[in-house]
Amino acid sequence: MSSSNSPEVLQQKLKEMIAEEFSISIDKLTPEATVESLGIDSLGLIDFMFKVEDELGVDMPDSRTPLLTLADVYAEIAKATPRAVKG
Amino acid sequence: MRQVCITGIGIVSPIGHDLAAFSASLQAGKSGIRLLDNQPASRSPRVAGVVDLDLSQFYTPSQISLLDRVSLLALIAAKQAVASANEKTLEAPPMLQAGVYLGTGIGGIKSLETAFEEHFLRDGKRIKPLTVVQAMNNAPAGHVAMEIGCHGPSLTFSTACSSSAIAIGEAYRAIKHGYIDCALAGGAEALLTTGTIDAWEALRTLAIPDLANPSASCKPFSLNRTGLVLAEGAAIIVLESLDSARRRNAPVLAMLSGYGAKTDATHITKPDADGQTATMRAALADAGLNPSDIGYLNAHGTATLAGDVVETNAVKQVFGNQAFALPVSSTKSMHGHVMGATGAVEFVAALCAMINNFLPPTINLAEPDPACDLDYVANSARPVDGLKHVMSNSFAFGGSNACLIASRASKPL
Repeated sequence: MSSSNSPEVLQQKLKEMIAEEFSISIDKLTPEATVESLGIDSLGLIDFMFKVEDELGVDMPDSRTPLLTLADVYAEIAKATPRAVKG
Repeated sequence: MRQVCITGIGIVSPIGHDLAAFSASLQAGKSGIRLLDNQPASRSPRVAGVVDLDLSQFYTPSQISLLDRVSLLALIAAKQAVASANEKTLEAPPMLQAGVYLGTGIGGIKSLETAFEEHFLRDGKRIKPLTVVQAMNNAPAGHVAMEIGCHGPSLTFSTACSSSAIAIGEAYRAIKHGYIDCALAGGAEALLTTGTIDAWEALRTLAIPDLANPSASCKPFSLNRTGLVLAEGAAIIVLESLDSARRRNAPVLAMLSGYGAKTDATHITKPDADGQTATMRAALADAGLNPSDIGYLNAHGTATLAGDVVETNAVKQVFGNQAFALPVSSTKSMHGHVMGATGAVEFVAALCAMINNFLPPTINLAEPDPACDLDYVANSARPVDGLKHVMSNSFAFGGSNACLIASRASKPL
């Protein structure tokens, strides 16, 4: 992830995006909250991660890591690398 | 063999977003065809039958993001159909075991086109991850089954312009022969994308827009017709065995009494009068009716130069001299060609005629083609008393033809 974004700033940005995307109150978005308990299904999460890549201008690794909690989601996004600009 | 009835109707179309509005537009001869907005500057003006409906009234942004427009339209029509079919008594069986039989020509093409455009214009590696599940042709049927809770067979028919007529016919057969008691049957199409319209234009089958009056661009059976007008929409009906409908005291709107499906096996696009004739005769035989029993025919009537003449000739072969007394109209003149959904949309139009006692018109028919010499109910609807049997034709690229016949319910239930 870009060094200009601290983990706290990134997590706050992601919380805002999740709250808007899935119409969930931001108070419920604690790191330990499970994706399932928030009513986010697996396809919705995949679609969201794609949007995060666009929003942040990053590429995420092609991982098969199960993302069970928001902490898992944040950790996965933290592995992203800045998107290469095509010459 | 069991009798099959229609107990619910849902429709979202360019001329009405529910059954009442759709029927009123048919009766008023109102067109839903208009110039398309937001077209690339390099294209000349284009017309289409557009569903001007704000989907955010029905779905959250997240749902709109996850489903292709074709599935969103199918869901609206399915929910209307179930609501009109006395849904409280549908919650238990028969709906739990109901089948979902839907037709679509090109499924989630909007998702596919958008994803491929971004994919190839960018780095060629990244693609929207839900592209597969949005674009697949059976997505509308899957979403309808999930939303309504139908655990019977969920089948998708893709036979171009006859897809949803085939879907209705096959559901009817499954009920008639006892495989299922109830089905949601019909179709959905949402193909108004730049690439799809480009492809249809390249085939030289689309109408040249009438720039003086874009809403009059589709002119079936008219001497100055220039082709078909693409449209989007969905129509889904609840089909049920008569016994099932009686058990739950459901409203019986009409009977589905006949279905014929035949293939031209002559040419991939060129219509064939013999194939169409065989299809109409098969439906009549299935219904146990004579041609003279039919009181109204909703024609396929695409407004292509070849198609309207071939269908006129096929109607003459089937109906003989009675053809000239049979009211035949193309409601595509109003709602456009809804492709995979058009068979269902037009079957619903025929049902509206029978239930509401009017003959839907063929609008934009100032001067008929001399080769098209039937009674096309030109320009204005006509009142009619007691239609007993109505027919709807659907003839497709690939030569896949279908014909459906509905009959007035013998007594109100």
